[in-house]
Amino acid sequence: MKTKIVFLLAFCLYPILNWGQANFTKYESMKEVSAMVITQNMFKLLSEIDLDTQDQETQAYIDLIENLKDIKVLTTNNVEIGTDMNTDFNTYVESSQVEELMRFKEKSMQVKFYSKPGSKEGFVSELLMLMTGQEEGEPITVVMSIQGDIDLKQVSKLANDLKVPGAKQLKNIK
Amino acid sequence: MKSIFQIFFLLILGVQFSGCNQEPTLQKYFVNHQNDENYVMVDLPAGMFLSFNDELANADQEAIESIKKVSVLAYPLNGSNTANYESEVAVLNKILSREKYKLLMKIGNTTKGMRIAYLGEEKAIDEVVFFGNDSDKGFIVARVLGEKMNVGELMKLVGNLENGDIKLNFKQFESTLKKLDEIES
Repeated sequence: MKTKIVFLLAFCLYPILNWGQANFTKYESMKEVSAMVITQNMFKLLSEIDLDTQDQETQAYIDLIENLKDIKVLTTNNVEIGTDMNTDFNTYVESSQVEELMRFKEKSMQVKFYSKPGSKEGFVSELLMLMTGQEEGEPITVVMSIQGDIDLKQVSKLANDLKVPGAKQLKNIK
Repeated sequence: MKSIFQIFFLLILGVQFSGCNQEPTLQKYFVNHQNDENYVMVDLPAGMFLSFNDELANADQEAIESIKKVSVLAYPLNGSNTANYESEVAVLNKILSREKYKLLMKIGNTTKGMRIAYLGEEKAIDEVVFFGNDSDKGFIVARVLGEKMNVGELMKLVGNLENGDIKLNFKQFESTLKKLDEIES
């Protein structure tokens, strides 16, 4: 009986605990939003593949990928949706334990990075980015979230490979 | 008290099972549209394009044999079938959003995008599904069906393929390839 109650409780609480993550999912199915999602399933499969190399740098990169959980990048040129995304982002930042990592302005873009403390120094468990501004005369809003055991030194390389804006600046975080 | 629990439990179970049966599956979708002239369907049994040396290691042999067939269903837009395009994409998206399809990645939006998912377990994949859609061109669903496919083993195989240990036999399905080329262009 006791175990049943525990199961029931876990079942009921599950969506609530997941809430922090889920508040961006509604944007994924919007016509005006372009999404890129790579899930934990993918990283689990990747870690199945034997990718060991002699090259230390490549190995560090592989290690980063194998410890990732989830990558999500949402881009929109729609002003209204962009504002909504902005609000949701700020609510999330306020409600969870994230720290500002850095912020900068480049050309007509404003970029903010936030992170959640990770397993050890130089590592974060979540990396968030919000970018707003104009790109080629069009309004643009980009939200990025990366979860996992993230080595900050390696993540800029990954961001670069995924063509995420702000990748260059990420390199400067130590 | 206990019997009420049991009845309740059975009731839920019953509702869930009856719900499952009515849901459309990818398999049903393929079957329902294979004779539809708006669709192009291509079925490739693995034996048709995978022929290999006898000296192959057992593990590789097993990896190859874990792939059963590749099944492709495409809906190329030809100007007269655009009306159903969006609703069909919505149907497929709904099927693929079901929990049993473990999403690997998706890119794009509803007008142009793609997603890859799989069925089964991490080390024993039963099916890999690719779905791509473009509101200018149409959509395509490709299923790689197999039995306990292991990505690690298959990737090793690809490595061997590059080394020339295994040869793909493309001759037998050159005509099918041509057909696919025609769809794409």
